[in-house]
Order: sequence, then C-alpha cells, then structure tokens
Amino acid sequence: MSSMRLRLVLAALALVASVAVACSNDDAGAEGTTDPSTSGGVTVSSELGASGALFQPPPPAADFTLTGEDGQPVSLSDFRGEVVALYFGYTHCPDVCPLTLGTYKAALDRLPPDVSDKVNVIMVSVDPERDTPEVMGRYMDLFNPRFIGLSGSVDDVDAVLASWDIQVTRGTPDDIGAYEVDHPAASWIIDQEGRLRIKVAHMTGTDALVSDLKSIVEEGTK
Amino acid sequence: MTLTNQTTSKIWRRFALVGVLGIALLSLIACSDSDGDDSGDTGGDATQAATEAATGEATETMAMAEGDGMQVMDVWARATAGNAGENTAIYAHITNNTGEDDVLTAVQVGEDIAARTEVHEMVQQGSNMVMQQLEGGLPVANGEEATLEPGGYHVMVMNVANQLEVGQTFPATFIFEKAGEVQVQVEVRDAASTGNSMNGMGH
Repeated sequence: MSSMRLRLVLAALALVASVAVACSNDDAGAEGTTDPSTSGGVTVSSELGASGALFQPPPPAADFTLTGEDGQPVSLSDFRGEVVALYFGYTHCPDVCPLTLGTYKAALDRLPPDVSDKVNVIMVSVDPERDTPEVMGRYMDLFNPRFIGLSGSVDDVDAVLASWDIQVTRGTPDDIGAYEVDHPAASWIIDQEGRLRIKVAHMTGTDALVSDLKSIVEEGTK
Repeated sequence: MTLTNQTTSKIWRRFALVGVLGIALLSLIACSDSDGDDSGDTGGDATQAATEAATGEATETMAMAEGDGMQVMDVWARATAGNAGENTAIYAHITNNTGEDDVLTAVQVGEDIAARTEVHEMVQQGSNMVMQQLEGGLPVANGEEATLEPGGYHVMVMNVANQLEVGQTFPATFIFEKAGEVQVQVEVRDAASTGNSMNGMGH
C-alpha cells in the first residue's frame, strides 16, 4: 500500500515538474514556477492537460475588446463565468483553422449539453482586412452557430496580438489577390475566472479536448 | 475501383492508427516524466512529433491496399461559407501499384470551381504552423500509399468560384509524373470534418 502511495506521489511530482517545464517558456506569459507547497491542488490538475500544456499557477488572460459578427463590441471579459476556447486564425485558412474549429465542434458535440453550453469557442481573425464581421459570421456558422468570430480594424487586432505576444506574418497578395497569414497553431482554454489554463497543442484530438473542457467546466460548477 | 479493398484498408488504417497513437502517447508520457525535455513549446512540439510519427507509420501499414495502377480514393473537399474569394482544401488517399515510383505533381479543378490549386505541406516554424508548396510534388513510391489529410499534406484550392455545399461533387484531375492524369470526383463534406486522424471516427 505504502509503495503504491509513494509511486502516486512520485508520479504527481513528476507531472508537476514536466508541466512546469512545458509552461516555463510559454509565450503567453505563464512565467510562474510551480510551488511544491501547493501540491494539494495537484490531484485536481493532474487530470487536466491531456490537450496541451498547463499554466501553473494560472495567470489572468489579457482582456481585449473587438468587433463581433453583428458589428457590436465583444470583450473577452464578457465571458467571465463561462469557459472560453480562444483561437487566432482566419477564414481563408484552408486546412489548419477548419481542423482546429472542427475538433472543437466534435468535442462540444460529445459533451453533455449542460457542459457544452458553458464553453465559448472564439476565433480572433489574424486577417482583419478580409475578415469583416459579416465574413466571420458566415464562416463560424459553417462549424457551429454558437462559435464566435471576432475581428476589427488592423490596428485593433494587432494590439490584441501584441498583448498576447502572438506573431503573425501576413503575405503579399499575388496575381489573383491570394495571400496567406502565418499564425499560431495552438489555442488557449480560459476558465470561468478569466485565467489561462491550457495552451492546447496543434493536432490535439477530440478525446483530449472533451476531457479537459469537461474538467474545467465542472471546476466552476462545484 | 474495388469498394471492398477500400473498406478493408480503412479498417486496417483505423486499427493501426489507434494502436500507434496509443503507443506514441504512452511513450510521450514516459519521457515527459523522466527527462526535462528541451526548452520551448514542449507540449506542442512533442504532440506534433508523435502525431507525425504515428501518421507516418500508419501510412506504411496501409500500403497493403490492393488494386492496379495509380488509385486515388476517398477524395473530399471542405464545404465553404459562400464568402468571396474563399479557399478550401482537397484530401485523398493515393495508392501506387503501378510498378514504379511516382510523384503527384499537380491537381487540377475547373475554372467553375476555383482559380488555382497548389499541393501543400504543413511545416512548424516556432509556434506557428506554416503552409508551404511542396517542392517537386508529393512522392508516392511503388507499392506505397500517400495520404493527404487534415493537418498534413493537402491540395489548397484558391479563390473558390461558387459556394461548395455538403454532398455536392465536382471533377478533379490528379496529375502524376509517370502515371499521367487520374480523373476523380471530389465529394464535398462538412467543413468541420477532421478526417480519420483525430479521434474523429464518430463524425
């Protein structure tokens, strides 16, 4: 029995250490180090993180206000009390963005309605010149009418990207006006208290998202 | 085209993928416990690498699909929103049983579908995934299968002329260096499709 317990403790400590390493160089500002004295919280958080790197301790997510699909201002802090999955993409993105949004859609479809109702999937456009609120609305509806597309002026969007320390590279339009925008492959899960919890890795599967979203929603309803 | 072979290979692929992914994930967990890993975006990179490794191995496993010549199967494109000048992607499984190594050099669609197509690969640059046109095309060795799938190789379809709706089909031509042209019908599927690679089986 005691060796079992020892193994559990060791596993928990190893998990904390690996998470600390994973988060230590995070570009979204997870600069805190893990304090072993807070290991009482490990039992809960050790179930988390199937979808990516945990922030420990969770820092506040930088708030911003952009333009919603109906042209009205929308702030990240409007969703306090619910969970947000935040992604930075664009509607002309043929593969990675639909894959990411499609995986969130599949995850939400698998969650019980009382859980999925508390998850808001938001895509902030990294390509605001083409992604007007109207264009964003039609695009997000392709995936799930509840998904939220945010856009704005180039200056407004660039200010948000800067505050999130996100680098994008906008290409030059070619002969048919086509260009691509390089953007992060990751997405971020923000909890009910507006804190960054998980930096979700590119190509994360539906199972991992279902597990982490469910855990974070249920934390807030306890 | 033999539907039975296609189905069998799909089933095999799912088995192989699930197995390999499982092993990859287990080994991931194991190494994140034992060593510190390198600095940086560890979680993302490691998962990405594991997924790539899994996909690679699975691709080899499924090279047992039978049939003659160059087969281009399970060809689909994402539905579009109806926005002006939008883009989409075409995915497919290619099996080369021609007796010689070959290269997919281009995929053509009609002007009524889109202005241009490019065969792309995804490359990680820092924390960004960057699309790149495949230099020299996509090699498909004899007896092997190449997969164009979400998050990996894909045909980028640019400036889609008219909205592509789920259930619709349109013709496309896959052009190989040696095997020449292979005509296919592309099935338009849900924009949210994740393919078979991301636990998307219930989809």
